[in-house]
Amino acid sequence: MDTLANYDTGNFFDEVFSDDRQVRPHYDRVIKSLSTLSPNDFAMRQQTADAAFLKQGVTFTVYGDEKGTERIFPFDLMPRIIPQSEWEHVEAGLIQRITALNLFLQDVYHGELIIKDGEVPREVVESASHYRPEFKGIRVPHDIYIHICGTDLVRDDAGTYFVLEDNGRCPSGASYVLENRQAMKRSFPNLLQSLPVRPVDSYGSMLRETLAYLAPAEVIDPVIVVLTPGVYNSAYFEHAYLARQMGVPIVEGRDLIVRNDRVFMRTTKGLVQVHVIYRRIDDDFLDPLVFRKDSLLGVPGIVNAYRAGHVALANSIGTGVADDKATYAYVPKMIRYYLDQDPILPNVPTYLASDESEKTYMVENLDKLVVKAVNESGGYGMLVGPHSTKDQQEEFRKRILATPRNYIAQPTLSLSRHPVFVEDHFEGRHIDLRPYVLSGEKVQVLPGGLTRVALKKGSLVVNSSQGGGSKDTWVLWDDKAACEGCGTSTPA
Amino acid sequence: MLSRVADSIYWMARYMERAENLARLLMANQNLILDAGSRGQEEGNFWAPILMTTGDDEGYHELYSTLTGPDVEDYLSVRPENLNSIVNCIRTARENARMIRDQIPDEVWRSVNDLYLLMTSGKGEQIRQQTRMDYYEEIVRGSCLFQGVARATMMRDEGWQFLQIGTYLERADKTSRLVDMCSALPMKKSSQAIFHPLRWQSLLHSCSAYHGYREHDNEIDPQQVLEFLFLSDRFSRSVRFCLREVDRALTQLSAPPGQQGMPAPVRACGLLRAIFEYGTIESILETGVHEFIDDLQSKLNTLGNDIFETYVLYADLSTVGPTTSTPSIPLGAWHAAQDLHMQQQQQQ
Repeated sequence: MDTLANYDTGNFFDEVFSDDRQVRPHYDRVIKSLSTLSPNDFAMRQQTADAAFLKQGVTFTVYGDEKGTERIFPFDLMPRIIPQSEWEHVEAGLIQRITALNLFLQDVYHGELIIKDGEVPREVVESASHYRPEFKGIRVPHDIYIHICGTDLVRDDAGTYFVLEDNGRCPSGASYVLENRQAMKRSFPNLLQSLPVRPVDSYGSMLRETLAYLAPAEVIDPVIVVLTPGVYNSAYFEHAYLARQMGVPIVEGRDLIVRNDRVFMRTTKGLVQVHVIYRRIDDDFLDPLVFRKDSLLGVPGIVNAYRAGHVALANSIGTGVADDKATYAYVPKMIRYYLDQDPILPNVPTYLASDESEKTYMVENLDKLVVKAVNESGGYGMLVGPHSTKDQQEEFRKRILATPRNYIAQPTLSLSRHPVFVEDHFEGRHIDLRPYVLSGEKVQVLPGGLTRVALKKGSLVVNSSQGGGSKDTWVLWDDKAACEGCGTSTPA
Repeated sequence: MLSRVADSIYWMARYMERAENLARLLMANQNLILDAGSRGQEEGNFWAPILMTTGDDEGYHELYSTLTGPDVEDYLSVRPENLNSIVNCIRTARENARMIRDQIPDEVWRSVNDLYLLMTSGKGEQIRQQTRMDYYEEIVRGSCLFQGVARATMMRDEGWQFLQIGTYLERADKTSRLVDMCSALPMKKSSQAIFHPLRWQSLLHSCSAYHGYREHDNEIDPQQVLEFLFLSDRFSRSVRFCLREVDRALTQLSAPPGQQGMPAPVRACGLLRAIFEYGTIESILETGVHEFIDDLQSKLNTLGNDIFETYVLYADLSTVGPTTSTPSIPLGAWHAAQDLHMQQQQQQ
């Protein structure tokens, strides 16, 4: 039985098949190779890959689950392929966008020129819940605020890439990119070898290089650490994984202590000064002296040490004003304002409830729109209009009218789909893409990123906390080679 | 190495050792009762010394009004109220291992986790209900496996030294406590029943020393037994042997004494060790066995505190700057109350 025989692309943009059901050239080898596998073969390889993830503890914890169950992030073995020509466009767009966002943050915390010139309303900035006026006028190393960004991209029914949101605080998931590639190396070594796929395993050294660049100038061999909330955090696996990839210690708040505006870690040999902290703790919990007083996760005094320039934080404090869902609507303007360029990657059209006429449009069209709470992430606090009940719509209508600043809405995009292995055959599921962008001495983008899959049939939500899964993403460095010798098949 | 990580390794090792010693003690006592039971002694006579030894006398009587074997065994093995029950010791060892899971070899983590899963699953309780001896043997075996796996997989770095310190400090403490169970018995060998050869034999069993002792001396002689358990330089559970291992690990951890002098734990351990390296059984008997053990235990406690203060807590923070406004940060076990704060969002 052919696993793709009854595959239905529906009325969606399918990553693999064009409208006339032809295999797109960059998937040529992959499809030929997979079609030699029986459903059983494929299911076996899938099981082996799942078992490997569990054994290695590639898991996350589900909040609200009393038992603190650890789950694997479901993984689909069929790779998502991005041709070189397409990737060059995406990469240029991401670099342009992060450059503008960093300029915006520098501006917002210093001269506020973009506000004074009337391009971004003051209320939008000042009402963003992650805006940190305490940081006005504080210089950060090399004026870079977001060092690690995970930008979510989606494709519409024409295959155009859109930016869905910018995650500029603590984006997670990079470890899955690396682990997914490892899984593919084990499961489909020949297929991977036969295609010109760009490697991803340099992420650890790229990240380390980015972080080392932030160290105070006088430090020759900086001490870098990863700061985690601890083993019970849902993303602890990733924190430990990235620390290992970089070869740096993973620390908790209680391992650090501040003296004379310098940060030290407590070791068995005494206190050792720390120069750069890749923190995976939100601003709110970072320093009980400055932010939430009840935080036991943070380090008292760390913010002052940062202000004094003796330690660097990545990402910087207050970056959330740039990835706020209302600020998002103004990013194309920022790109024009700071760079004098047209945005390479468009935004999804966005309605702000804080605007009277847009609010009215929103509440009248809840059944057609995707409504998002501006300060939530992970797929929480959102309404997918076409899939919602009347009660849910009414609930959101009330909430939007009560606190308009907290809500935005976007048209329900017809997200692109990709074949996903279900039981014994392939079915189309919606996907997105989260590439990882690092800003240090230069801006670097990890080729590909995390392709997330909404595993539930018809679902548009890809977040791991909401039943999403992932795929390995293969960026080609030579498009022709993926279809070279069309007609011969490669053994899987 | 981060102090917190060293601390977790140390406690992981201590709690595994503690669980093993408790299991061995219960196993030896069962043997003793089976051997001596026919003489018509009160059952409680056999169990009271055990509760005294483990320091659980009060805790036990808060829960039970009478002293019976099954109750004591329950209390020391599985009762959740007893923080030092076997199951709770293994749980604490596992909790410490879990916090540093990515910083110890995977095999070490699994050896601790497997034992924990066995003990907390229905299977563990089933074994316990069927055959007590098998249950205790599972625990001893699990602990030995843990030690063997650690020996075979761990780097000989600071983590290893802390594992050694935790293991041998706990062992020295437990051996001395077990000896204390017999400290009130007559020390002279005689042909009268008052000499209690079975008790001494049981003591050797509970220290896993029976075999070693028989090689060294054929007859059960109280003084020889004491000498063996305190002063043997080849028996790996004697106090002398344990202190030598602690001393070795501490010396490796510390820089050679320079201008700043010798670190407090190295000094304390050396002083304590001298008593066992150069002392004789006669001098111990002269002091009185119970008094000697009392003094030893308070010195072991001091040593443990010195180690904590030197390598984990940092008494010498002042070397970096003024210590004003130092928030005291409790180290050691993690509190459930913090879970809430863990749940701040990651951008998934």
